[in-house]
Amino acid sequence: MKFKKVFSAWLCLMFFALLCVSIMLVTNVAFNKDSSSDYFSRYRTFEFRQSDGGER
Amino acid sequence: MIKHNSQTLSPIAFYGIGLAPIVLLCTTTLNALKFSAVLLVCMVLCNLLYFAFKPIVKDEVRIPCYVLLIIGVEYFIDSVLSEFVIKNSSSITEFVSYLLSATVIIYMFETSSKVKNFNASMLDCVIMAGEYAMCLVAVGLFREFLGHGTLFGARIFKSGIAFFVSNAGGVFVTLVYVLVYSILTANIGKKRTAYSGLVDRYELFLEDKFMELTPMKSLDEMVNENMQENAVSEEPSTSTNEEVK
Repeated sequence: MKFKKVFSAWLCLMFFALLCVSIMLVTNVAFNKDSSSDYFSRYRTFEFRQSDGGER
Repeated sequence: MIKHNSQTLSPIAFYGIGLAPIVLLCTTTLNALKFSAVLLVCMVLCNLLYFAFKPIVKDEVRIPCYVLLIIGVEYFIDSVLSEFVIKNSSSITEFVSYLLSATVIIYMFETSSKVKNFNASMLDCVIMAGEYAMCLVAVGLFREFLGHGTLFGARIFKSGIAFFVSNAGGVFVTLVYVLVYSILTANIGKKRTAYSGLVDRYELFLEDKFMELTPMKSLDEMVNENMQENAVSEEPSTSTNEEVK
């Protein structure tokens, strides 16, 4: 009974993971993004620090 | 519908969490407004998706499901913002980076998971985001006014107090906001209790009036009435029997 409960919770989680990846893929296709480009390089160098008003 | 209880749902005012976006991002009003708008859109989209698949969601893994949804929606919002709204992509990096933490924190305090009505759930979601956004905008406004000496970019003072632009100033302004918010909600709670008490009393009064206007019959009167009715219903049957004889 407990195994069934855990399995159904895991399935639910996997479904949402699949949904998340699907949203990302659809967005990629819709906006014609190339993941090999440096589009997301801004996140690689991102540091948590104080904002200066977004005028950089 | 579960009634919204601001004392349990406002994470910043009553638990002091969710400070990072407020302290680090809300240095100007415009920044705070932009972040609030993005947060609201993100939460509404997440709620829509969550509600679409609600029958299969297990309550034990509700928060991880929300987190996965938020990651997907955030990716979408990031793409839309960088494609259509803001040309300088580095300025939206901060918004999107803090968006995850803010949204997850708000969703950890939501109580609408058991609400089956779609409208009530959406209203709950918008109220939660609105409460957080209100804090963001209030803190951003004060920090801009006191720290930079400007209001929506227009200069009012020659220079501001640098303390309010710093992180410590942000925490200070947030604490003042929390104090004001707590006092206001406590007063509203008191008035709401007094009002509901008045409504209850008025309902009781109306009930009494109704009972006075339509008085209850005593037991003897009811028995007498019953007997009379029985007598009336038996009379015609006896007469017909006699006629037959």
